[in-house]
Amino acid sequence: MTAAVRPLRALAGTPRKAQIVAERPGDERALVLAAQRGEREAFSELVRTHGRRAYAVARAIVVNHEDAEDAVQDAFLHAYRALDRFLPDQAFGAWLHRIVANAALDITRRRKVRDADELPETVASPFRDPAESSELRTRLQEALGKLPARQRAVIVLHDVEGFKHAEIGVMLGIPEGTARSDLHYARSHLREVLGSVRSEL
Amino acid sequence: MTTEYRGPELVRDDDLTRELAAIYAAPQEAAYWSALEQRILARVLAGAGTDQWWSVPEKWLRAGLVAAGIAVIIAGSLLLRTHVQASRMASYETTIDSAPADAFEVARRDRLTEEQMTLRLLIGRD
Repeated sequence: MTAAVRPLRALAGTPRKAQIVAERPGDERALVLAAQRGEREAFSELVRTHGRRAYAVARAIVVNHEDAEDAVQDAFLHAYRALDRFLPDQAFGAWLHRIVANAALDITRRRKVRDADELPETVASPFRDPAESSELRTRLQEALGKLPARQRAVIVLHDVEGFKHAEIGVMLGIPEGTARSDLHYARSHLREVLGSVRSEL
Repeated sequence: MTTEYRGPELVRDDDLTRELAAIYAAPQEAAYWSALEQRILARVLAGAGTDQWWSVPEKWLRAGLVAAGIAVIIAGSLLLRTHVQASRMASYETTIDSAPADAFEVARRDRLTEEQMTLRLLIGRD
């Protein structure tokens, strides 16, 4: 399990119920059932367990941190409203990730319409120390901003977040083969950018 | 959904992955995640607590849509019936109005004088 998939509380240094939930799917089912009965604390626990991973999915699709936060909030609200339609025997995470991906894609579409006349966007990384900024990373961010949104999402979800092609296909509503070819094109393009920057430096 | 991919072999580039991971690094501060959780829950509770028109229970929504559909059908049939009656009446009036004036004259009898009437009565002729 990578840092990105660890539950929120575990990362916060207080490994409690959330961590247990992640390790014991039966407990998660119980939490989902309790949340479906209207127990808000159970839903809060699901938010704590899945919030960080949901953020990672959203962040892979949208171009900046603020949009990722919006997408996660929209997605949890949608999930809460649709909870009675969720079958508890399914994987809650996979169901949630699809909702998050849809929310993020919605935001991306809205932003695309809004920003149609502006310059190509750059993928923002607000948490990086500016002192660490390098020409290479800047150029890579620019190249990411110019990639088709789906290719960008696929490469980040696969290479950074560790999702499998089939999972990415379900999340983005595309065939697994398309996810594979998107990954190929995104990698080729970004590798070219990396290569040219390195040869210049 | 096809799972077939016929392109070149997919090879991970560790340098690229490292750079991407740095760009997409999530915040590490526990306080940030706590705050985000709180915002999510506040949004969910606010969204769930408000009785917005689009959040009415699904069965009510369905019943409402069915009732609205029936109302539209009834209104439509009434409108159609009224229209048919109106066009029948219009066609009747057009027929009446456009009939030649002498058509009515045919049915009209010339007035008989008193003598003629008496004569006809005596003769027994209508």
